[in-house]
Amino acid sequence: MSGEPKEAQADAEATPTEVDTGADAVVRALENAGVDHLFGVQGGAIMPVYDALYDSGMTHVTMAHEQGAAHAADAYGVVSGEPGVCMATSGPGATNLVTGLADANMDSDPVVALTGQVPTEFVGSDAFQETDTVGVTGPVTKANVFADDADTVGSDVGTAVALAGEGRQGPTLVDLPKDVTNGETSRGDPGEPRTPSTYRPPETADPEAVNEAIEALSAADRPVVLAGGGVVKAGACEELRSFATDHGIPVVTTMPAIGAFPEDHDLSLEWAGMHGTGYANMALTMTDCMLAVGTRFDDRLTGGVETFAPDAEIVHVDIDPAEISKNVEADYPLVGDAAAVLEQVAAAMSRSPSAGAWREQCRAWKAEYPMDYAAPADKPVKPQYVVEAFDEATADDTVVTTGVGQHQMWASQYWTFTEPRTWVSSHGLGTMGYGLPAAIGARVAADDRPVVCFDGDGSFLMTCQELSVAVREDLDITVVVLNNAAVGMVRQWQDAFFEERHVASEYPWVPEFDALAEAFGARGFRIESYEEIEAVVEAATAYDGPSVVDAHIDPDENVYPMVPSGGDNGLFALSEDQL
Amino acid sequence: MSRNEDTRRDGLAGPAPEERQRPVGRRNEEGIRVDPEVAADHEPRRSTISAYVADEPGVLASVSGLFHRRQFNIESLTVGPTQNDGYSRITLVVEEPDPGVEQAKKQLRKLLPVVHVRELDADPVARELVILKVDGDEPDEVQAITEMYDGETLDAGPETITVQITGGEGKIDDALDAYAQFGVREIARTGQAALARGATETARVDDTHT
Repeated sequence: MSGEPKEAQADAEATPTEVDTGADAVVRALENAGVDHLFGVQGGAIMPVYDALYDSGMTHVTMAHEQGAAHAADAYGVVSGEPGVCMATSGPGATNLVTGLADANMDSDPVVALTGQVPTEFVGSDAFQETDTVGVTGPVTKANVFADDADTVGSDVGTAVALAGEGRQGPTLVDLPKDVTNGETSRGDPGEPRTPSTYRPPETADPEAVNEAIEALSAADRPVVLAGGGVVKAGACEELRSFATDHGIPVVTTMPAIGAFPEDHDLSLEWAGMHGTGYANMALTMTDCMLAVGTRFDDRLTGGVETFAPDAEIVHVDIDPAEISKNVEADYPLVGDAAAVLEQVAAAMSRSPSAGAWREQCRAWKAEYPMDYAAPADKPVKPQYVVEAFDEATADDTVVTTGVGQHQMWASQYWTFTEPRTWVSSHGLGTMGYGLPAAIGARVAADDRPVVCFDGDGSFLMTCQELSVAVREDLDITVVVLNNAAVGMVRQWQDAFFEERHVASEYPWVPEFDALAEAFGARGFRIESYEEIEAVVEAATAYDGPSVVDAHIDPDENVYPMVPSGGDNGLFALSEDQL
Repeated sequence: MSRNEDTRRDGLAGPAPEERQRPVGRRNEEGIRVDPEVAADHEPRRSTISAYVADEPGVLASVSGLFHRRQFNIESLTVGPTQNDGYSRITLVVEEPDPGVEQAKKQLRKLLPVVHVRELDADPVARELVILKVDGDEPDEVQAITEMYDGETLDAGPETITVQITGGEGKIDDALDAYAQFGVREIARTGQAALARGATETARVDDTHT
């Protein structure tokens, strides 16, 4: 398989690193944690750690920019479920990681960042490439630490890996001063990764609370399951699927949970929120009892909380007690691991709600608010059609990554996701440029599954240098740029809320992305009419290596449905005149 | 494929917003379901939160950064060592409605160096110290106020008198009012240190954190 970086298989059985220095201990801790891929960029203060990788069996993917390393590690974490690891040097290397760490923090993605730091004696002196990395990254990491001793730096790294992956997942960081990584240690093997003793994530929920919750669910007339990203994180998709189908309860997902429940299932209403389906937003608005699992009720999901599921009693399952009643009050808080609590709920629930009429209503909404779009042959290509064409041409287990903007919404609306960990996107932070580096991380983690990245012209231009990595590492990814020569989502808001004053949103100067791809050594394709689509889709997906499809789409197309920021989900607009 | 060749319209099909079913309920700004007629409001209240924390570098920055970034209203913050080496007690007085107090406690518990968090009862054993410097023109009157508040004179000279008062917040406020007549030059207040009243533990700490 060409997608796999070169040395991976050969060195899989490499002997563990012998520990003589702090840097050896860092590498050994990663090996002990089962890490096999790293994404990073070299630089002065991190060089001792890179040097210790020389004899290690781990594979390092050199990225073009540290932001790309963080996003690649993030996507690796999303697709594999295991923490993705990124590395950078001190100063600008570390600050370039920050966007990716903030992204992972918002989406609770498991990421470990290792940053070089100036030698301890220079810390605080404004030395060359010195930044207070622990200070800068504190607000955007689950935990971070300044490693101050060669004897303990290995266990610091092990702890960081364990913390990233356990409980509510998230990014962690270890700052590695050069004297510590260069320093000698006689401690040897730092041991298996372990969380600190103060860290005790809850497992199962209080059984009494479970009983109260199932009573409410059983008695509901209009029940709905709202599956959040925590369902995917906890590996609870099977539990979710059997619970919903056993009891005939319609399922809505949040964006990060896309794929947790098959979107082609009769009970699926797909995803809700600002650009969610009309039927999902109707169901959330009219439900009288919601089982919400692993969601933090983000404002892009709820709209204004005053009008969010206002008739519903809410059963909220979350592993993080701080999410309970943070944005929306929980009537039945169930704190614990999503899979464990769903098992508890399923075991305790003996009576299904009488929801036949409600299921009919949900089906009726599906018919009333179809996602059909107009696509006249004599007009420019519609982006939705391009998404559907790639979906039809690829296997069900294809991994889709995206940037942020209109293309992201079309990809999530018009691709039919049926499996978890096939949707890799930037949700909470909304990071333009996420798509391509994420496709690289996803490619490394996805074994032989196809990887397709949908990007916008604006998003692609933010991180397109990572194409050099995809070519160098011979990674089989297909990037589809839905090119409308604009940051389309901004322009859509300008049309709706700023009297069509298009300030800094139109890109009349976008490059030819197919030619740009060829310049990088990738394959380039272009779509300008419906007639070209089938052949291009076939050639791009068949190409065994990185390819870029420059799809010139109708620049006038906007994303609907739409709930304006802070609006009422039940009053979603189907066109601009309804905003 | 859901591509429709014939239609020429922007957006999607379906009943317009005003034609849809509508729910009857409503929530307030805090996401709590309310009777629209009698929307319950949560008034901010003063609460004392005590956190027992591992004495690691940066722990104070983490706590204060957390309160700043989540916009919790902080009245005072004190920190100092405890009976156990390597552990500190942070006492926070916050002014928040109930949901804010709950969030503050839960978010504090997520910080790794934080071992235990408790909101103290409405009437904890709480004391604060203030040092204030007043004009020295009327030493007898200053002394009278100082005695009235069980204070202590720390420094006295021809120009200024510096005294200390300890007590609850109300007493300190009253004392400061009383001294105002002399011309207060400078004030340093510590903020409150507090423990739970009676046999109640301020922090539940097992052997691994002592």
